[in-house]
Amino acid sequence: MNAGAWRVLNLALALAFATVAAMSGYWVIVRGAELTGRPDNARRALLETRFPRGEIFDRNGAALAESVPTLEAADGYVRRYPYAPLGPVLGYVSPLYGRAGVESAQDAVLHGDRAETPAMALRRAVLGDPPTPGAIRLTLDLDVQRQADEALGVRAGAVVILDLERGELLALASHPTFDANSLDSTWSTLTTDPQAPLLNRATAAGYQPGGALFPALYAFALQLDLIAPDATAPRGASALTLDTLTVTCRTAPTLGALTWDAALRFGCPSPFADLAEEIGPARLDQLYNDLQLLTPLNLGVPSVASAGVTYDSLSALGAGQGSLTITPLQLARITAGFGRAGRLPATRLIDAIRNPDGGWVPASDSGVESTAFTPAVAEALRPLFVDGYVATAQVGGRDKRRTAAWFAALTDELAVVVVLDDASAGDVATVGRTLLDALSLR
Amino acid sequence: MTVRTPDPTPVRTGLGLLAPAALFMVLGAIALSVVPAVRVSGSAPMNWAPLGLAVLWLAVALAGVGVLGRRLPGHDPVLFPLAMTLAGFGLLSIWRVLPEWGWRQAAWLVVAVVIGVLTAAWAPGLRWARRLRYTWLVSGLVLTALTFVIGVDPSGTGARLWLGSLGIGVFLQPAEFLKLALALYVAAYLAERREVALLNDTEGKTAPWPRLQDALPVLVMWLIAMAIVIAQRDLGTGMLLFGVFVALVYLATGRARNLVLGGILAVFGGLVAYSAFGVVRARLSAWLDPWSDPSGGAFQIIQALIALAAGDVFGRGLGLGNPALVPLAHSDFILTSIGEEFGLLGVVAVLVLHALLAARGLRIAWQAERAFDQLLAAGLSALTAFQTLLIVGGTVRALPLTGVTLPFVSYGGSSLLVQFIAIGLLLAISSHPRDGATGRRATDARRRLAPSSEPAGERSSEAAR
Repeated sequence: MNAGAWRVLNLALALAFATVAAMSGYWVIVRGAELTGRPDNARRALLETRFPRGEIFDRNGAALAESVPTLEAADGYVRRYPYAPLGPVLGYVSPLYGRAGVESAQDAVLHGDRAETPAMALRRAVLGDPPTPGAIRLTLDLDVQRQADEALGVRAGAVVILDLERGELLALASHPTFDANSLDSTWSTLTTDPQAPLLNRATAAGYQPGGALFPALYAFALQLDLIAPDATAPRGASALTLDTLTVTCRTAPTLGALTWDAALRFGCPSPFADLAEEIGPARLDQLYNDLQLLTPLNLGVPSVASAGVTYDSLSALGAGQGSLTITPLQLARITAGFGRAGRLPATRLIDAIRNPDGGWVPASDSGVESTAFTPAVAEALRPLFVDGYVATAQVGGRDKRRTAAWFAALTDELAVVVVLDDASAGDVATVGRTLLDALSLR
Repeated sequence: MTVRTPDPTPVRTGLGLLAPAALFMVLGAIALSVVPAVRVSGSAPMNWAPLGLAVLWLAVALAGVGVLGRRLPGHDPVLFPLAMTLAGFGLLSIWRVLPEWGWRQAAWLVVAVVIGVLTAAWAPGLRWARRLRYTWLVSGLVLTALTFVIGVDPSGTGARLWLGSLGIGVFLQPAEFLKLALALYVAAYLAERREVALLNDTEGKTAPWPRLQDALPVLVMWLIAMAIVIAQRDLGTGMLLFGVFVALVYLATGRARNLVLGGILAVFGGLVAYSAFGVVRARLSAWLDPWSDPSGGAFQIIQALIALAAGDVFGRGLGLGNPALVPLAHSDFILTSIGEEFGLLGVVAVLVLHALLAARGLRIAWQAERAFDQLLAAGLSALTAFQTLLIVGGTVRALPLTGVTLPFVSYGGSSLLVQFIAIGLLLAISSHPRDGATGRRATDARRRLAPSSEPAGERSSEAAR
């Protein structure tokens, strides 16, 4: 046997073993947290069948999600959702199906990873203790939420109710909902349902705005001195033809020539299409940024924003049938802006977090306030929303066109937005006003 | 062969090495027995079966050390305890995942140790092994070929690599025996040819390519390895056999160009396999980018990594993890079970034990008197070490996954048997230098090598003992 070769083999093996040991160390130490936090790590969810997960409360302390001892096994906990319609918002946590909603976004707190002192963390690493979970208090108000869900009923759509003063979300409704208490038996139907009950329409579904953004466009143009309320709107009530779509006024006006103010109230698209052309892509982009329509909000739960907005067809954008989509939450913030002298609120869903040691601390996940309009303009447009501003939008491809309907309203304290997936302006107005009535009785 | 009085040193050393392992086994068994009471609140029955396993292991280990001490004076005292420690680790981990299979592994352990010790203690000079090398090789190939025809897969999920069942539910994997047979054959072949090759090597490095006479055996072995790979989809074994063969050729000739040739052939073979087999492509893409297909082809490797990470440095504790979430946690992925419950420390411990085993085996190879013994010892050590590196490398994503098991630790009767036979052969070889005058003296030929050989002084002092 050759001595040199023998030495080489020894060295090579030593290096190989050392390398492999180092790589094990890499995965455990460097990538450990990332790997264990993956949704396909069933261990986290399985652990929570043996030790309780943190609760989720509404603003008044009512339990929205809690871990209760099971009846079947001698040990074990199961996750219960006392108010089922909040399914799309609260989400679920399951060893089989992963995580979604608030359960997912706040998993670190609810599982008990956060707010550990280094001593606790070390003890847990060595002894393998289960974590001590924290709890979450949302800004949602269960009473208001019930009214929102009742108003929506069996229709598909969403409701967002926002507190004007502090920008807190009082209700987030998304229909159709699902019951997270019975995921095991309903999962396969839920994932194949074309109505997408698992989707949180309020924060994560983008709709064509249609006439819903007319007030914002109007306010912006007022500020730029491009229009005046009494001036005649060119093309008035005429129908607008975009590529394959013809859009008409939401409500047919009785007059022939329209003022801008009338065009806004009747929801006529042609003047706004022309207005967008006049505003131009640069300023339009600035408006969308001021309205925070292009970046997702930092809410502590997943929310989306329109990505890939192009300014090729300004007419389409102006009429709200272009490449920009908005979520009900975004519209609620814009509406709230009109009630807050032009300042869009810093929106909050997470109110406070309870640490493992029992103390509640205010949550830091919060949107950012932004100024979109001058106080004067906002005040001028506010009366528009008193009984609710109704708008429609055409959605769907050429073969399956339907109308989505928006309703945006302002009370003294709240901003209320309703969107229905497939309804007329009259339907959404009925739903919206019923809701407003119920809310005013609180 | 005369019977010698037992040399106490190997027994004493062996017992000394077994003591901490025994303590580990007993504590581990107690932990496994107690754990159900911890995981479930309320009453749960204590299961004392793991203690039975530990006792059985201890009995086998003590018997092995005793018999070897009596029958094989001067053998290396570290090998057997090392192997038993690893096997014990494996026993506990397998029982943890699948209790019934833990008992099967224990049964196989008894058989394996018995046969291994028999091989060591009653195999004088290993001349029989040399003479029968063609028999081993042919039988190994025939048995492996049989699996193409009547092969079964006991777990029903993968390649049909087993022969069974002899009516008692026993399954044998011929490929394991083939590894042993090939190691024997190659060592014998090279030992014979080495002298001839060396005599012609006096000019030094003038020839740019190896001569056909040197290269032919490499090519033939490569073809056999590729044939196994192609027919059985057993990539791991094919790579392993080829790697060990190239290593042996390199050791025998000392010519680096043999390594290069081997490397080229490996790459070429890899390309052929890649273009011909979807399995190869799937494994390769799962290795390069597992994150994009976590629920499909890359499920195993990602779950394996998650299990390792879940163990953290100190482990979740024996019995307190969820190792069964990783597929094949009792065989191919036994390391992730260890990683989850014993932590990074456990993984490194297993690696250190295997590294020590390899180092010890190579040392035995160095100290062996005859070329055949040297090459056989080196080949067997390389076989175990390469296989370990192959599966651990695949588990930590240093290499693509291959379906080989972790020697001594994974569930697998044939693997355990073959590994202990290898230990037996190594032990026999290790007792050789002290045996004296048997076998061909190849030392003269070795001294004629290039000046990188060890100083003659060391050799002569040992020969004088």
